[in-house]
Order: sequence, then structure tokens, then C-alpha cells
Amino acid sequence: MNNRIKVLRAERDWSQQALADKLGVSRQAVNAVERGKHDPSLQLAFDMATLFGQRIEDVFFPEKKSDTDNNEEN
Amino acid sequence: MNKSEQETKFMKRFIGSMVVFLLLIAVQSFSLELLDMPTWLQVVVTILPVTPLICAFFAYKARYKALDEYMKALTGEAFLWMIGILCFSSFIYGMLAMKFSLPSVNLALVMPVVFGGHGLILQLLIWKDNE
Repeated sequence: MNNRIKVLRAERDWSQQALADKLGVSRQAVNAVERGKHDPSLQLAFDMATLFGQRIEDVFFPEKKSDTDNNEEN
Repeated sequence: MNKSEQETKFMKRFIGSMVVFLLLIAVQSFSLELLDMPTWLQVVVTILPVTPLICAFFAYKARYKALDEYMKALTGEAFLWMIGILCFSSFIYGMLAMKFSLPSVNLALVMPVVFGGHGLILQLLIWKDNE
């Protein structure tokens, strides 16, 4: 799953640690979600979207099929 | 209770358990060497140091429940790796022991190896996701 967390975070000048503190999760969790290494639960995804004042579909969006295929090949 | 308070509480309980463990090891060693005790009491004194380790395990379990979803997933994966390594290495050892004469391994080493190895693998998984 792709996301715009890095952009939204940069717009607000928030560090990963600051975002993690606001969400009540570890900095590693924010980093993993941001880099697409971990798909967040619905609760965490909604919490992130709410924190950024966005709709969830404006923050998270599915990978295109070709992206998934490329990732699997790599 | 916030994260840092939970972490502090866990560290206090964990370090406390380790201190009690070391004290009980000393009690065990001295009492078995110096005192003339019935067999049942020797058994009790011998396994007494396990008690604080059980307390440490429950402290770790409480800490696990307080982790966020990502750290829970990584912790689970690290345990899966550690159980896999332990099972395969013990199976290989057992297979070899059926055919060859091998040095004996003290089973008391299994627990510290598992928990130490788990911590190491967890750090490697975190590092891998952050590289």
C-alpha cells in the first residue's frame, strides 16, 4: 500500500518521532508505514488520516498491479 | 500510562527479577554446599531461581501487549525465527547424536540463548526495515 505520509509530514514540519508521539506508536512503526514496509491496521490508518485532517483514501492508496508485480520480481 | 512509563515499569520489574535470580543462585550454591538438607528440600532450593525468571517472563508478556502493532509483528517474527533456529539446530544435533558421539549440551542454556537470540534477531529485523 502506498501513502503520502512523508509529504504530509513534511508540510507540517513534523519529524517521524513527533508523528509517532502524536499517534502513540513507535518511531519505527511510523518509518515502516511511511516506507511501505508495514501496512497499518484500519485503526492506525484512520488515526493518521484524522491527524493530518485528510480522508483516509487521500493518505493511503493501493499499489498498482504492475507495482506489485515488480516488487514480487525484485 | 504512557510508553515511557510502561518501559520504566518493565525495566524495574525485569532488572528486579534478574537481581533476585542472582541472589537465589547464590543461596542455591551455598545451601547445597554447606547445609545438610533432605532431598525434597534440595530439589526446592535447586529450582528456586526459576521463580524470578517466571516473573520476568510475565513482565515481558505485559510489555509485549503494550507494544504497537508494528513492534508486535516484528516481535512475533523474531520469535518465529528463533523457534525455527532452535528446532532445526536441536533436530540436527539429535540426528548427529544418533550416529556419532557428540559433546553434551546443558539444557539450562536453552532459555538464555532463546531470549538473547530473540533480542538480536528483533534488532536485525528493525535494522532491515530501517535501512
